[in-house]
Amino acid sequence: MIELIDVNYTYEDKTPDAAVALKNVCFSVKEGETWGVIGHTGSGKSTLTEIMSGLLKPCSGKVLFNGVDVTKEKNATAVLKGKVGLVFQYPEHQLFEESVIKDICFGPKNMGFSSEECLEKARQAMRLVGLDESYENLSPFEISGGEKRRVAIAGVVAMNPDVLILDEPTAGLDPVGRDMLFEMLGNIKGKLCKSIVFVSHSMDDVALFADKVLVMNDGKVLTMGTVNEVFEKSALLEAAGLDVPQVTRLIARLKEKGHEFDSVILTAEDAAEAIYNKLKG
Amino acid sequence: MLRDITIGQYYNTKSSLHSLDPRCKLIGLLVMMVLIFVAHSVFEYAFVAIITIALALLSKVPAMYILKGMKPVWLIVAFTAVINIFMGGGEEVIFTWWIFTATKESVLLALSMMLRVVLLVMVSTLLTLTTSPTVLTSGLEKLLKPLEKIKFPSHEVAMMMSIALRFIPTLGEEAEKIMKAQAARGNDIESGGIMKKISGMIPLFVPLFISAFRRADELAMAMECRCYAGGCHRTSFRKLEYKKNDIVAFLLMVTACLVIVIYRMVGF
Ligand SMILES: Nc1ncnc2c1ncn2[C@@H]1O[C@H](COP(=O)(O)OP(=O)(O)OP(=O)(O)O)[C@@H](O)[C@H]1O
Ligand SMILES: [Mg+2]
Repeated sequence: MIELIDVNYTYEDKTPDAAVALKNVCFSVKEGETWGVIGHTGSGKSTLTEIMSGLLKPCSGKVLFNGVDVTKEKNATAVLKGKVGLVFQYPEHQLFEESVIKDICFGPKNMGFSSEECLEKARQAMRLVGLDESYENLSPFEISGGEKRRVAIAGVVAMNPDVLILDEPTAGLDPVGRDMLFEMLGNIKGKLCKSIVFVSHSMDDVALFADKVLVMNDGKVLTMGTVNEVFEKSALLEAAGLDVPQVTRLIARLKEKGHEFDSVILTAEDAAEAIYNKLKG
Repeated sequence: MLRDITIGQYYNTKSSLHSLDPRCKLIGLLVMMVLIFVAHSVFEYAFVAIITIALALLSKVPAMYILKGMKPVWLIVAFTAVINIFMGGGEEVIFTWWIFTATKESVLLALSMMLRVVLLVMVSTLLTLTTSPTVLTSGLEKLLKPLEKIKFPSHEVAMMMSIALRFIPTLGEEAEKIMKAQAARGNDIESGGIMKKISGMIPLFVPLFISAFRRADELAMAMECRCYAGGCHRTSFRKLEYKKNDIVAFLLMVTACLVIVIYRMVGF
């Protein structure tokens, strides 16, 4: 669906304070995939999400959406409007309307839907993010932080994007909020959005929820592949200043101590089962 | 973009302007402002313009950086110029368009106004470019100190000013982020008529104001937590002292004023 070919991006290009953010990035998202993007601070993850949603135009390289090169378009955001949805980090800071439902309608309204269609889409999005009807007429400024974030995500989901991109959606949420967020993303995927790309600093989140992982390092793609493939290369990740999921680390320790495990183990359940089997003999 | 606004920003380098005492620079700014306002003839305009350019060169701040920072000012400059050209009155008509007429006097007036605004902005930009906010604050505080006799809160005013300067780039960054976020939701401020553009601003301004208030609140809280209390005779970490080059600078200011005064007396 989205394909980046040799994308380079430099902030403040051709000025003294130019900052290279992406170098020769090749990356593609296919229908039905859930990608986790990881990398240390300043490695270009946010820039990547903005390029993918057409907000930034790459300095060189191509961005294909369903085979069409959107970098050639004058207004890439307009072309990708409603096809690629981007949820920024701390999206709750962008709420502005007087009621929750109006704020969620903002996106669909800008896409040119009639007010009934907007309402219908907004209600559907609210259900998917787990907000019931009682929230509709509340002010988005009088609800809790976690609820605000859901409203903000619903505002993007209501535009029915084919690809939903989220920049650090779990930043500042407690463990319960985080679990609910991923449950919510699970609901959205397949119903409204075909693919999801999310940026995260937590390897555990990525291991739990993504099927594929893209690792960024200093603006370059360090490695990508399925979760198992990537977390197998723990030495490579550690060299880039990144962790592997806690469970993977535990298993690696056990392996060092001479215990054999055949597959890469990423979740606590798998680990428990593998260790149980081991103990049973 | 918005983050390029350099008004009120400090440019860190070493130059003779940077090393001057902040009080000296503040008084210098005041003197320059007066000179720019009293300037009337070609000679006087040229004189203040040359001083300003000399100061800019002395500051060792790249010219591009200064000009880039003045970008938002150009609009105001253009606006004043247009107003002045058509509202100036005068005799010698150069051209007329619809109900507007431009005269030689009004064009000259517009040009001099433009020059004034640009020079004013440039000298004040130079002050903040060469003086870090903390130093500027302590300088301002010291200068305003005598006013405390009449219950003027000099410390608070200086503090407010330095905080305001500090938050200009932060708000610029914030505005850019919000603009992008709303653009991702299909908010379009580029195309469409003026009414559509104005209504497209609401989704930008509401969150921006909210975040500005939130920041102010957080900052106040953080300062209070560290037991900050306004002007209760705080001593400062850096003691300000006039040095030799400050005296030279004061002498130069006096000379500049004298040049104008003498020109006025002889020239008329
Ligand atoms: N608006 C900007 N102007 C100039 N440079 C920028 C801008 N935004 C980002 N950069 C630079 O581009 C690089 C990549 O930034 P980016 O925000 O994409 O990183 P990130 O991986 O999202 O980091 P984080 O994990 O902290 O969010 C950084 O070196 C940063 O300094
Ligand atoms: Mg980021």
